Amino acid sequence: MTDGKVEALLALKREGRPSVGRDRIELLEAVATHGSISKAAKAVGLSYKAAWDALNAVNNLLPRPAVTGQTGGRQGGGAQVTEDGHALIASFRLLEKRLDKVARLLTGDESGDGDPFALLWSLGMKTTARNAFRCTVTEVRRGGVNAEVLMHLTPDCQLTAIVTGESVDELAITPGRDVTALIKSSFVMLIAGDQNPRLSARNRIPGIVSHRDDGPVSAEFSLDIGGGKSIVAVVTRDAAEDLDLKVGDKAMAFFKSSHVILAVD
Amino acid sequence: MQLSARNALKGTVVEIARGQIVGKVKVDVGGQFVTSLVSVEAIDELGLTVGDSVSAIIKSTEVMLAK
Repeated sequence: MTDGKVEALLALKREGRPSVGRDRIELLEAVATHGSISKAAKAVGLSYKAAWDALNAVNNLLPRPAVTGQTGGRQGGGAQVTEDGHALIASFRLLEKRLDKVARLLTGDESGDGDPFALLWSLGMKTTARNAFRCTVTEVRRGGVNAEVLMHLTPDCQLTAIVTGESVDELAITPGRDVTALIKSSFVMLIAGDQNPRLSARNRIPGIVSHRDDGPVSAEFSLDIGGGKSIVAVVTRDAAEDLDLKVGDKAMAFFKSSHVILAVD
Repeated sequence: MQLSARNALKGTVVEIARGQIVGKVKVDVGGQFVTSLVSVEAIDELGLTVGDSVSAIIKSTEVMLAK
């Protein structure tokens, strides 16, 4: 929408899963072409980190990863687009081509002053939460005010959210329903190693440190949690030094169930 | 157990109030009280009772300040 005109932007959904935009498809295509994230990032004009984050986000939202082998760190091992990833690209491009024809018919000359489609622009929601996981609800436990929602992130990994009962009603959250669990990276704490701690926090996800970025005060970690998924945690730089966590180390991400936000399509 | 959380206040459980989903655990930390809301499942799993020694863990991003 650089020229402010109506352009057919395809939001790809499958079985109600959230949209994958063109920028991410282009990045996937670049990975397929170059076989490496760093080269793909350069090709689409992104920083390595932005590309890496975008691909992780795509993998987190798909049932199976679209890209594999991206955990090689900054120098990067190779990265491959999976069969699912190629299918995603192909169907996106095909639909986009068809949609473009329709869009030109639909909008005609209406895209000048007083854009009748202006309201549509606000519909596509993006969030700042770094962790967005597609989950399937397995159980809903009701309390007086709150409700506990149990979900599967992967077959081996369960997440728990505590939200109000009113939200559960409003969003019609029931077992079997797919939801997106959002967790701000600053809510995620880390523990070194793979020992399950005696903590009240309901959510504990073991993984391997795949990325560490140090700032003067904070440090950002990514953990590869298996199944092509990853979780981002921001902790203090002091904590990062104390835990002495490096890429390749085992670690566990944990967060309170009350820190999980649920979204539905 | 080494955590990234910067604040771990050692204290004694002085009160537990159970709800259906969430419970309140009041911890005496050297004469001051820290109140924690955790799931009743967590209370059961940890086997928390009044008099237990616990650590109240607070991520530094969660601490508000007043002056």
